[in-house]
Amino acid sequence: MRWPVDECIVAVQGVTKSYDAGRVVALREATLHVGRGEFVAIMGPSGSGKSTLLNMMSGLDAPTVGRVLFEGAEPRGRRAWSRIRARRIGYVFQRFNLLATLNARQNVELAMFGVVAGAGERRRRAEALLERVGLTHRATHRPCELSVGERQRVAIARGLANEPVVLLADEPTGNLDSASSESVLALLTEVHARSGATLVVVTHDAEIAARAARRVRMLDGRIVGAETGGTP
Amino acid sequence: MNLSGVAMRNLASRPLRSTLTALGIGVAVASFIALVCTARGVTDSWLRYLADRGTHLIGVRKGTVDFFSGSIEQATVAEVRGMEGVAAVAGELVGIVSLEDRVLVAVGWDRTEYLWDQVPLASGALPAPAQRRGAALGEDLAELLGKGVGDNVRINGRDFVVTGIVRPMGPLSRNSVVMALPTMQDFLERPGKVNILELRVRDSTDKERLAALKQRLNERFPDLRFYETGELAEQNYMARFLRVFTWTVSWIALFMGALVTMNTLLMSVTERTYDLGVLAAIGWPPGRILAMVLIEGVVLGAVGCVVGSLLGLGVLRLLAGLPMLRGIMAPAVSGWVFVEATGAALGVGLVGALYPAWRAVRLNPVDALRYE
Repeated sequence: MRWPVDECIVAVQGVTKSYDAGRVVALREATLHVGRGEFVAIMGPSGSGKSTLLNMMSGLDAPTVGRVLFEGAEPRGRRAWSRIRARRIGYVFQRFNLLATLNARQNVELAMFGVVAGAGERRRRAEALLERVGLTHRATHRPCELSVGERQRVAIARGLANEPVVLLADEPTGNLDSASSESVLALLTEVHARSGATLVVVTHDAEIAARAARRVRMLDGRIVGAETGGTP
Repeated sequence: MNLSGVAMRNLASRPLRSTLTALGIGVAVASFIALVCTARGVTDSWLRYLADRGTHLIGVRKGTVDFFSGSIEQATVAEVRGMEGVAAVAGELVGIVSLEDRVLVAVGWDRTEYLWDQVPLASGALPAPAQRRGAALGEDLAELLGKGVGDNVRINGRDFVVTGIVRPMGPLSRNSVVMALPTMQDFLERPGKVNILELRVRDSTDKERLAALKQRLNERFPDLRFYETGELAEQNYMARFLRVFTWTVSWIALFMGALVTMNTLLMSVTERTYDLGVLAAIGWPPGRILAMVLIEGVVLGAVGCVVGSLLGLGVLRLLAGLPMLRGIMAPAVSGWVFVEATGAALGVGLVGALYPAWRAVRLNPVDALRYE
């Protein structure tokens, strides 16, 4: 599906990513346009390039060939992408990526540095976000004191900290049991529905994919197909 | 929570290593304080010693590395005394001698000069001119040796009789020996010579006249060099050497402190590679990550400064109480040295953190997130 530039929030255009002087190619001439408010699931077997594609979309990694546009412009350099990730993108990782030395509230606050002024305001907003994901009572617990499902909900709260226009989730239920998966999935879809944020989820989970408006399939670093429909 | 709070938590998460690093910086700061205060104490002791005796100008042989090694004809004393504006002149011969098993300063003064009259005695008397084997001991020295008036002491292998005990006139005199000038000249085999001229001027408060007199003296006696007592710390070779030595050793200690900090923070950054990747992934710009690591270094420096200041004061207190050093130096502790130490400690922390911070910023977020 092609989106007009003003409706396309992230555009990956002919991106190839290779490592080790070209001996390893993780992504091959990938092109993907994601529209505002869209829910896209990226599917494929391990090593198919899903996470690499997500890294390109967030500027965590740079293309070897091709370009990535965010809201119609091509960000240049780490600083520009850092600013976009801080203010426009929320990122949820499979391994949660919470800092072990900080408690749940402080982990959420981290994402607001440089965006929300004042430690008191950051704290207040972090508490509100934890309440939103049902973890008010766990705010002062460190990640090691939380269940894996709770950790992922903290990570989602952190991803939502700056009211992003795009929420990228890399295997968000990959490490969770079925009950926690359902809870996290419900939370993500609720966020998508309520805030209107674009949701891009890398997943193996057919149930998550079924809820997406569009499913993009990848194999050996290539986008091999896309289908629309589902219950977003 | 703010950025400093994050940095503090990072340090607190590795308490033993952070404590040891702060202690390492503390030792460097303590060395700095102890060395600088000791060196300044030596110089101050000497200046105070001269000031307490009412000496305004000092004359020594030009070009000598230390004041003890030069020789001045004793007849010069009378010539200087005849200069306009000079109130009194004393020629003295100062040397290093061994007394029993100690090495210390001995001074020989002429009985006719003002220095002799000023010596405060706790007991006994200064040696009489005919008493060629007589010496007066500083009060602390006599106490250390357990000697009193009438006892024998061996100076440079010769037997002397203690004729008197001299009360301290500044720290330097506490452990010194006073002899009659002829005895000292004979003793050092420098007959008719002195090595220092001490002058009192008529109006020492008039700085212009003092400077003018000094200039006239330097012109009249081109082989000699006259200083105001306050200039000695700046002009004297030994004082300068002591200062350079002190600063060199201090900077080596501080450099070691910076290396310790760098090592600790490098290990910390390596261990936190994953965490740094997370911070980059959630949008922390390189500048903020850099600032966080630098703050950690500065916090280590600040803690090290507090520890080092207390440790340095303890060392100085210990040194000042040592009987063998009591007469040689009294540490000059000033608030300014703590300002310098604080600046140095924070600088050490900052410099030590620069490279680790740069490494942290250079990390590729994707690689960092793969780090286990």
